[in-house]
Amino acid sequence: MFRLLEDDRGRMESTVTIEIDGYPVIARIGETVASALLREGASWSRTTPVSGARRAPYCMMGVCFDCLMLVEGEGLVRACQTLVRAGLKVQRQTGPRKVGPSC
Amino acid sequence: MLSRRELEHLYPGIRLGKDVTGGAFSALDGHVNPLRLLMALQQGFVDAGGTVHRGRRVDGIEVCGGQFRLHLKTGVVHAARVVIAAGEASRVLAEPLGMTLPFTLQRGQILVTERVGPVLPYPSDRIRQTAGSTIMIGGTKENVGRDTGTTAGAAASLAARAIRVFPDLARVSAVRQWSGRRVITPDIAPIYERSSRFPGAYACICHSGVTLAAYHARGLAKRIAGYGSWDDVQQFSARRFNVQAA
Repeated sequence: MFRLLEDDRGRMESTVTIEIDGYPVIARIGETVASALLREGASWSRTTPVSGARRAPYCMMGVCFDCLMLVEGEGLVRACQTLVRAGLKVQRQTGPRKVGPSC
Repeated sequence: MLSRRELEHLYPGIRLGKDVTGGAFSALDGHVNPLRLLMALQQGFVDAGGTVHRGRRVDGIEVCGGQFRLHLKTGVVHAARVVIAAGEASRVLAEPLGMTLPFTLQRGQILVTERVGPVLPYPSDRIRQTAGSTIMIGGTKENVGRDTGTTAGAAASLAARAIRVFPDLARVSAVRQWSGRRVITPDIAPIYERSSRFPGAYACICHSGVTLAAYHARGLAKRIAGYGSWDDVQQFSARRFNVQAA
């Protein structure tokens, strides 16, 4: 990942709009969801199911799993390993995934 | 042995698949967290006066006047007693000390899910929820040499089996897949070897040091340290394989 620099070739103006928790976020073609998220005021990606504390993209290279986010159509993925595309809908995950007969 | 109904009582938080007819339960079994185990073993060793040389590869072991000389890149360490527990690297270290260790390598692939609320109060051999609340789904048994790659086919079959047992897992994302090599002896049981040519030299080979941690940390360690009889350990010598096939 980290594709923005090698991909931009003078077309930095090329942007798409993605949605994070229902709010539109402008992202550059060739960047990752994590990178777009980090420019936001609320740059956290999820709360950890263990303590409930907020987590943000940390390693940006796919190993720490702190940037797990729900991407429409793909499920829970690492935002730092997911490139933006027009209309991509992303959600922060709060609390552990509920499993069981009641849900 | 448990009926399906009894099994349902053990897992009140999650449904069982329709194919689940029953299960086996042993109150003596449990789950050991490998990371915490390693930390505890090293801490216990240090507390007992030991020094841990981290990241120091042992290139060879020599016998010299009843003492063992361990050749490290950073120098030589002398010891009156040496225990080789180096997994697949053990064979090379143990040969010169008169111990033959037959084993083959077996690849195991594991799937790890996102963290979910507590639903699996008991570990099973294939599906268990960790203290960190991820669910680990194991494991393949593959004869592929030293290859530690992962395959989509393994991910699919591991996931399918887990969903067959616990259908609710179909809504949980798998976030990691990894593989490792197991050291497997011809009868899968561990090898605990004591060199008869060089008293003080021992070798331990098994899968796995985590599964058998309770015995290794107490019973076996005591016997290697010279307390208690070696008689009951003797049956795990590699000599048990020195028989002609029928």
